[in-house]
Amino acid sequence: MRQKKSVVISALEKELIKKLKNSKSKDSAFRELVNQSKKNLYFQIRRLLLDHEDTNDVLQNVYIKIYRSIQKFKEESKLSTWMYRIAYNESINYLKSKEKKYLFSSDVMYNTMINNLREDPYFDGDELDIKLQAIIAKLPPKQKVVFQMKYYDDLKFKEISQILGTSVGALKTSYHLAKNKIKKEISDNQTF
Amino acid sequence: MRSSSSFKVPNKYFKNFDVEILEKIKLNKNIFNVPENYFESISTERIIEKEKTKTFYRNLFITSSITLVLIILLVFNNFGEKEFVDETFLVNDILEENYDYIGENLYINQYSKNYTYQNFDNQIIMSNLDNDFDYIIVE
Repeated sequence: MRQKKSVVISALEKELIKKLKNSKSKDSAFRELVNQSKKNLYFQIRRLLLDHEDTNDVLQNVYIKIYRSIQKFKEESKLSTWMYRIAYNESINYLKSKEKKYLFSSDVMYNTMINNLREDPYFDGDELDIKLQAIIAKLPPKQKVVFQMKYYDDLKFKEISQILGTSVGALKTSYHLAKNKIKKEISDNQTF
Repeated sequence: MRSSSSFKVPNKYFKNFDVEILEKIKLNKNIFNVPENYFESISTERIIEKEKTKTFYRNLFITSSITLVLIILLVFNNFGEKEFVDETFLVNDILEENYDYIGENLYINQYSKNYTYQNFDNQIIMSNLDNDFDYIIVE
């Protein structure tokens, strides 16, 4: 028999999940959940998609999915971890559909995304930030997301493992590879 | 041989150089901005409404698809063009003991349909499925 994984879920979170699963309190609990999580989820998606409009579309879809499938949430992880996972999957699917729609190869698509960043009124980084984004964009998807979750969100490998469904060992390897590639690109680049 | 530079750097300076740059960039986390009042404008009501509309259209699509398939099956079964079997051909088939149509529903013409024939001890019994008393015996 499959054993239920033990995770520490706070009493507040348990209460919120309970309300979300109850049809009478679902809408008000959902409002609370959106208010609590919108900024974190937004920036998590934005770091993968870079563009605000794309992020906005995906964020709406993520919340629609959360609202629709909250009953299926088994509470084997934190609610935030489960939401992160949905956001990650939606973002990756969005990028894949964009590739297919515009018949881009991954390289062309990421170059376009980086070039658009220079014109983006909602991007406040300098040339150094653009270069770091360009290096991160070139990483394979798993290395990219592990690096971002660790570097920007300070998530633990255990949490990332639950989000991505990959073993902690494999994640550590991915992170190590990503970090080394970034370090190498930085030291190769004269302007840094 | 003289060293390439007479300037000295702190211990492990170059080793930590790239790491320090990464840390420095990390401090500048808010490189992504959002339009003014963007987060305030995220409306849960609109998301819920959108989800309900999506669910409605998904259910409508599933129901319509199932109905359409059922209609097609019904039309195919009831109104499909029936293939009539020529009477002479049928009689010859029985006489020559080919029995090509044994056990099948036969549509001889538009007035005599739903016939089937079976072979009982070299007696061919043709019977009408719609009428228990309507049968022909060919010996």
